[in-house]
Amino acid sequence: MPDEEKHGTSSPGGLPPRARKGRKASTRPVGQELSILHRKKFGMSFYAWILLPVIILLAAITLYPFFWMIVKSLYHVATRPGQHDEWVGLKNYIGLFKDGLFLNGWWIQLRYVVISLVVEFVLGFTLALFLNNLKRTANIITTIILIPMMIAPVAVGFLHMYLFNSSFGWYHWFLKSVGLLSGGSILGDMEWAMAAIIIADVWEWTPFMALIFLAGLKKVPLDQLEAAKCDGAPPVKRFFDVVLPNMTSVIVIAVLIRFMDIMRYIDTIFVMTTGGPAGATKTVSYYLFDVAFRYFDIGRGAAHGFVLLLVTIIIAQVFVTVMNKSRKGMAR
Amino acid sequence: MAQVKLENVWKKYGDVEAVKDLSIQCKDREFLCLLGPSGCGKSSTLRMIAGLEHITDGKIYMDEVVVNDVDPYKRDIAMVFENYALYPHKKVYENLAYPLRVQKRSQAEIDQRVKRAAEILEIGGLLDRWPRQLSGGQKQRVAIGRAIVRDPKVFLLDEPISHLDAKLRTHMRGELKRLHRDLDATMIYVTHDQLEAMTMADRIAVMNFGVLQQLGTPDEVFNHPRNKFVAGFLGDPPINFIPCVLHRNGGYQLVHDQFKLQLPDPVIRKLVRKDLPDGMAVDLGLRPESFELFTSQTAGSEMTGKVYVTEPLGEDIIIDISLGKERMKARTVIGQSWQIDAPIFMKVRYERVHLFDSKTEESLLA
Amino acid sequence: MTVDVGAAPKKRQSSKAMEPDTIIKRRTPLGQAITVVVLTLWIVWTLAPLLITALGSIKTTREAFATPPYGDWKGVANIFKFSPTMVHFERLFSQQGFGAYIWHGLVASVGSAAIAVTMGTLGAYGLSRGKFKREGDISFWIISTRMAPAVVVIVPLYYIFKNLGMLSTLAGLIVAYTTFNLSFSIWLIKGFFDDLPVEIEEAAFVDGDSHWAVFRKIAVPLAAPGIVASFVLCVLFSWNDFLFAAVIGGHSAKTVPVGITELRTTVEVLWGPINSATIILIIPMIALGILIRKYLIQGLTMGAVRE
Repeated sequence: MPDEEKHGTSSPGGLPPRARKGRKASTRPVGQELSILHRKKFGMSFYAWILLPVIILLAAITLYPFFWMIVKSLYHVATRPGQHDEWVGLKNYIGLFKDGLFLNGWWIQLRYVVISLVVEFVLGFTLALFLNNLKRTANIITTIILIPMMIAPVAVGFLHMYLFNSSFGWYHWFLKSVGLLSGGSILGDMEWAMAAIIIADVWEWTPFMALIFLAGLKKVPLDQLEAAKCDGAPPVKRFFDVVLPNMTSVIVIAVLIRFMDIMRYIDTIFVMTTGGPAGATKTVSYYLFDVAFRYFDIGRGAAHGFVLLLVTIIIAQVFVTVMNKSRKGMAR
Repeated sequence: MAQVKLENVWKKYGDVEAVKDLSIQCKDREFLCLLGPSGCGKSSTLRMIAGLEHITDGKIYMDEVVVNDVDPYKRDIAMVFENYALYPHKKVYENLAYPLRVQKRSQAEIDQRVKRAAEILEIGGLLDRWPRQLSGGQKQRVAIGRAIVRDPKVFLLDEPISHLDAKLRTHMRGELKRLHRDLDATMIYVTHDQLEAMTMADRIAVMNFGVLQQLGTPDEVFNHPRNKFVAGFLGDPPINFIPCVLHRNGGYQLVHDQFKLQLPDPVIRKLVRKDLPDGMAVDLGLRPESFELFTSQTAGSEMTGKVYVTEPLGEDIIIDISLGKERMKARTVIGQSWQIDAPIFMKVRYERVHLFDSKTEESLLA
Repeated sequence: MTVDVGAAPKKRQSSKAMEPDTIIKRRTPLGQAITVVVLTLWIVWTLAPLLITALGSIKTTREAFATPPYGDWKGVANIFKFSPTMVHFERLFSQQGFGAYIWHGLVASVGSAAIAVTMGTLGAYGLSRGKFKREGDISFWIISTRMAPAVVVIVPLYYIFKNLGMLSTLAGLIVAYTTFNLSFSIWLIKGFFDDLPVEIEEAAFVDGDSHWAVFRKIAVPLAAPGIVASFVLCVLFSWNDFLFAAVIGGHSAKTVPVGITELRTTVEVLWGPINSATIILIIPMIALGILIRKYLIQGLTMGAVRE
């Protein structure tokens, strides 16, 4: 619930404000500090009133499922009619951490994230540097480049499944023709399967990184660069001393969002490998899908989801902190 | 038109006291200027008069009626914002017409008023443009026009010309003063530029740290400043303050290690108290225009300094003079040639002298 | 891929010198050439899969599967040798019921976007202008919602909806989509409101408008581009979604992404229809993306980065 400052009235004999948690109770009536646009009608300002229904809706559709999940994670949930939920306390959580697939899932997810991010970062940055060169064609080229971002992850999955197919896939053909691939199958190979997923991810999301970095490049203050030029710094040094430092918040934002999205989406894995072969692409996010909707172990699934969510929230906090800093910087 | 009265008005933001115990009366059809450095509370005061901020304590009257809890709209005021606050999604005509549309006036009346305002401000040709197509000066005039169409009791202007380039500002000072006359309106004008205040205002309220320093006509605040702050804030180049010691030798003598000045009778007559103690620390205030300057020793020149640097201004010249540890600026007409590091002899024009108590910073002259 | 630092100085030089408004422009021919080559290669790699799919959607299955022997580079041109056919598209609509799927997708995405943006605009305005002590917490809550992994969210949603009887309904799907669309909209539109100077609203207030009139006549029109961008992106995320539609949409509210996955059975994979369906799926979104190109980065980074 939005929590506005409670002010005393300015009339004589005004009531002292209610003590807020962690704030000193003041007995002297506090004057209204906000402009008249924030005056209160029926206890809240206009802004609080229009926010209220939205908050209620949001709470209903996000907080309720959240608490449901926490509660259910402490039970063994019934799957057959007639059965009852059984309290198991933290058993689901303990089970999680004993589960090889769960722990391995993090490892696989980490590899996926790290390799994808590194590749997308390098490629994206390079692309951005080149895109920065364009003048007249900039708009058209960037528009073409951003197309993969618009495409549904399922479609990306099928696209690449087609391309990596052993019989008629053009990527398969290409890799065999240049001699990189010796074996018969890509999606069936434990090493290549992950690579294929990563390639699909890179294809879809490098433009995202490229465009973000492009925006960041354009925001690098020109006078800093010119000062460095006058000081005699060669281009590479200018890049590391001026360009990169001015882009730190943009870089962090790009990396964080991609990280979140890789945790978020399991569409490509679902389509291309369904977690196989032999669990080689079973990330911890994908594994949750199996747990909840293949094995129907809902209690476990809730615990699993909660842990996953926790990690996500921590990352979100970092995102917000960086974004606030970056906002202040861009306001200059 | 109306008169506006502030009675013991306070504005606090939490523990911060932005406006302290302010009492001002703005007469009907007066051009009152609230002058002071940034953070002195002048904008807060204006916004309280407008009704955009709550009044922590005290009362504000418009035409003898307390308006503390009255909505801005109902106070019949019009405000010109510092950054113009034009509606970007409406053309100039609609920007001007907006207040009238809210009042649900007839189209004919709207048209007539808008055209009249546009004529006064010479923006008739811009009526069909978008705000983003206008220059700063044009935007500012549209903002003023929006205030004019309302025909309010009081005009409130918050540093309206501070974002214009220097030449345009000079021009607008004259235009605004003329506008005040033509509209015959009560105007309260906030600025940090003392030149604007001096040239345009009927009376100036000088403020610092939320406190009213002096309220008077431009002549009063300039020639009879009540304290060091007012004396120092008005005037460009600013007044020179020279710390001295007051010596009672039958009369009054100002003692400085570089000079001794015996105060003449006209000055003594202006002293607010005759019982000033011997040895009192005082600040001598001399405006740059208070000197007669000579390149060689003349009879009657009390001070001798050295030329530090000269700043020729075309007709006038400003000479920076070092006098022992002090540095002063003096202004005179161009004529003689002043050499850097050459000695310079000054005679004080006693009718222009100011004297302040070093401790309280208040003026010792009436 | 390694970046060749040796060649870097030349191309970095030209790219830095090409900052907008640079007084000195040094465009080395080499730098230009490298730029063209790199970008062309990238565009080819970007568009190739789409081209292959597009072609595949109008080729017979046999023709689509025809690849030249390994290493036969000239044979690649054979990809263009085919006789176009609409068989797969027909099959989608007549046998697979894609007409219904497209309709479901449209209703669910537009419906959810409409709710999200309407409520989102109100909430964003309240959050932006209201000086709440807990604003930081609310913002954090909102963004966590947006970033929560879909797999996590659908677990409770599935069971709650099951109990409410909302599974397999379009309404249920709309609500499910609103879980992420609402937070996203609030967050993004708030950024646009934050950029509007309060002075303009104060001026309208002094002119006599009520709070609601100020919102309606000043704030919303001025934030319109952001509101539209938010709407489009909500449609995009919902239309493209697979997981929610599969789990919550169930049997009666299938969307196109779900339909496509059904074309892959344990028995066979119907590549022809898959390609056609993919084309149907992606074309509208590409069009929309181009439409809001200007606000795309701002939207996708949730306002963190502007162009």
